[in-house]
Amino acid sequence: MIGVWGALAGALVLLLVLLAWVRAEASSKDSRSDWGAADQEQSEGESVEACSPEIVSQLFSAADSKFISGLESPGLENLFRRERTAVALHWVQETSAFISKVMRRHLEASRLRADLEIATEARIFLQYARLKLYCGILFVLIGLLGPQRLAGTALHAERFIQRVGEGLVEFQSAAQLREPEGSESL
Amino acid sequence: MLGQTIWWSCIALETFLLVRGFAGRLWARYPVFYAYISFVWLQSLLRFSIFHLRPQQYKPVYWITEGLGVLAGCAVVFEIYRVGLAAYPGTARMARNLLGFVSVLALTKALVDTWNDPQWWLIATTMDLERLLRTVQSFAILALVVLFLFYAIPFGRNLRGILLGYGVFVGLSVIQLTFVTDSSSRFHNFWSYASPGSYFIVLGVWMVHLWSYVPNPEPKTAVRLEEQYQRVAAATAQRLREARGYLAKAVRS
Repeated sequence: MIGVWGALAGALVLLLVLLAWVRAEASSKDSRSDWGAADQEQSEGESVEACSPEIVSQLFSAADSKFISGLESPGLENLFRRERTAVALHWVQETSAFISKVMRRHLEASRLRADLEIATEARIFLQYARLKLYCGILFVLIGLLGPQRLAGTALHAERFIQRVGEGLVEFQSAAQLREPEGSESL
Repeated sequence: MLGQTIWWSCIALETFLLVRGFAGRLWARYPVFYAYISFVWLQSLLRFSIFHLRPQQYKPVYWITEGLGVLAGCAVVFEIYRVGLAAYPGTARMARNLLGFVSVLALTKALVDTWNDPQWWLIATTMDLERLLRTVQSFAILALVVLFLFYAIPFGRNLRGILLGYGVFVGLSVIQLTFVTDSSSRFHNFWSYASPGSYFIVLGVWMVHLWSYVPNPEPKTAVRLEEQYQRVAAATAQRLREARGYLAKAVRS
């Protein structure tokens, strides 16, 4: 039957997860109100949309870097690179936080739904995990290479999120097809 | 002497827990849990009496009551699920599926093992069977706790205590049953004190958390309840897609 080591590992994982749960319960006591409507409004206001696509493009574009290089000032170049990397890293963190907020709000809503679909939940969670993973990869790449050199090296990563996006579009289309049935019962 | 002291202390704490449960009307809120504690209390008294009056019958009595205790424990897990997720039908549905999955997985494993070795259950000792049942129970609790963590289900003090105490008890039981299969092992002596000692601590956790009734926090109803799940899911997918768009733009630029 279940091996000795399997049982032991299961028991240890259970004790560790219980510990994590107790800690999470204690820390969420004060911030429980964050799960309410106030947070909903706040998260909408604080979304990644605050940073326009033009600024994001500018942040990662090589044009500014070329201009600074043209001035032939190593100190300025270093300062520019440091600042730009810091801003890019901050942007990735903000985006990652935005994704977490979206997921948190989804969980808040879905935990009360009697018509919850396991397959849909699993799919959403998978998309969420992929986006978070992508943010992690992007964070490491920016730290290692800087935002300007990222365009060339992150081609593979771009293809990866493209696939994630296609999956989401497919999913959304399926959801919209089902929507009229739901609308009737509202 | 130390063993006897722990034994008596556990019986005293169980009695106190039952009295507090009765006085604080916690019986009505958590009937299965208090039925379980009553069973364990009677079991402790029975074992203690048998141990002193008819020591030759102690072993069969111990294993029969232990088996019944494991089954009663399954009902406690069900009560945690029932009370904890009463206000969260979505998470309750997810939990049902997850617990069903754990059960199917355990059953499939048992069937496959029986198919490969039809004699295993004849060779297996009572201790092996208890370890098996406790392991399945620990996986069920693990699945529930992961779900509570993931959906951030708020727990009241009472239910949190029941789950924490019972989870620790089951986890430690599996560890104990794994190491104590050989009575000549050096762990055997250690666990003969550690096991009742840890149970005493678990009873202490229950005592502290179940001193008086504290209701479970109600879920926020500010969420747009009129919405269908498909709309909620589609909105989430749309927002994740937006995030994906921003990330893609950043990399492409």
